[in-house]
Amino acid sequence: MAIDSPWEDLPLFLFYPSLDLIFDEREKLILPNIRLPPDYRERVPIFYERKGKEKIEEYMSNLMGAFKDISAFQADMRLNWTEDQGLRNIRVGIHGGLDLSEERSSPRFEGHNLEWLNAIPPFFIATTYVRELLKVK
Amino acid sequence: MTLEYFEYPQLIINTGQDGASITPKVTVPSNYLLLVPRFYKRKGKEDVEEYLRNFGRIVGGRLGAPMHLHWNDQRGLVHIGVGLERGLDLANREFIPHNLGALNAIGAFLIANYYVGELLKRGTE
Repeated sequence: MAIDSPWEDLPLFLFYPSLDLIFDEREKLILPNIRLPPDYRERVPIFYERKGKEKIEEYMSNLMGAFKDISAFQADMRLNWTEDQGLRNIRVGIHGGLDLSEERSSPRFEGHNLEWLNAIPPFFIATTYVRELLKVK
Repeated sequence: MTLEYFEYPQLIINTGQDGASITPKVTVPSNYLLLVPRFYKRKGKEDVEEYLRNFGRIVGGRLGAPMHLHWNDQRGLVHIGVGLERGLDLANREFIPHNLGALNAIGAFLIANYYVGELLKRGTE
C-alpha cells in the first residue's frame, strides 16, 4: 500500500513504525514508536464507517489466538475507543499499554509500563490500526 | 523522495481450521538502490547488526531460532536467516518468507522492519 501524503512537510522516516530496543547494564526495554497521520481525526469517522474498529478487534483476537503458547502475549489486553479520536489506548494487563498522545509535534502512540515481550502485541495492533487509517482518504 | 515510495509494514494473520498462519509483509522503498550506498556509508549495517544482537539479548529464544543477516553491496539486506533453512528473502522489493513458523515470523518481521526504517532514515537524511 503506497501512502498518499499525510506527512508532506516532515521527514518520511519519522513515520515508519519501529520497535526500539534499549539494552544496557541498567535496563532492557522494548519501546514501540508509532505515529499517526496528522489529519487522523478527519479519517476516524470514515474508519468507523468502514468497520475499521471491528477489523482491529478481530485482528487482536487472531493475534492472541495465533500466539497462545507465548505467556507474555497473553496479558489481558483491551482496546479503548473514542468517537473523535478512534483508538485511544491499548491496555496491557492492569497498568501497562500504549496511549495516544498529541502533546508533541505529531500524534503518536506512547508506551507506559510495558515490559519487554508484552510490548510486541500492542505494536502489531497499533501498526495495523494506523495502516487502516492510512487507507482512508 | 516522495511519499509514494513509502509502504507501511504489516504482520498478516490468517486463521483457518488448521490454525493460524503468519505472514510478514515488509517492503523496501522503490528507490532503495539509491538509498543503500548512503545507508552503508552511515553505518546502517552495523546498526542493524547491533539491533539483532540486542533483540537476541532481550528476547532470547522465546521468539524462535537465532537469526543471521546476509548483505549485498548493491541491494543491502537480502536475507534474514532463521536457524538453518528458514527466513526472509528480498525479492522484487519485498521480503518473502519461506518455512517460517509463527514464532520465527515475528522476529524476522521486526528485523526487516527495523532495517527498512533505518534505510529510510540513513538513506534520505
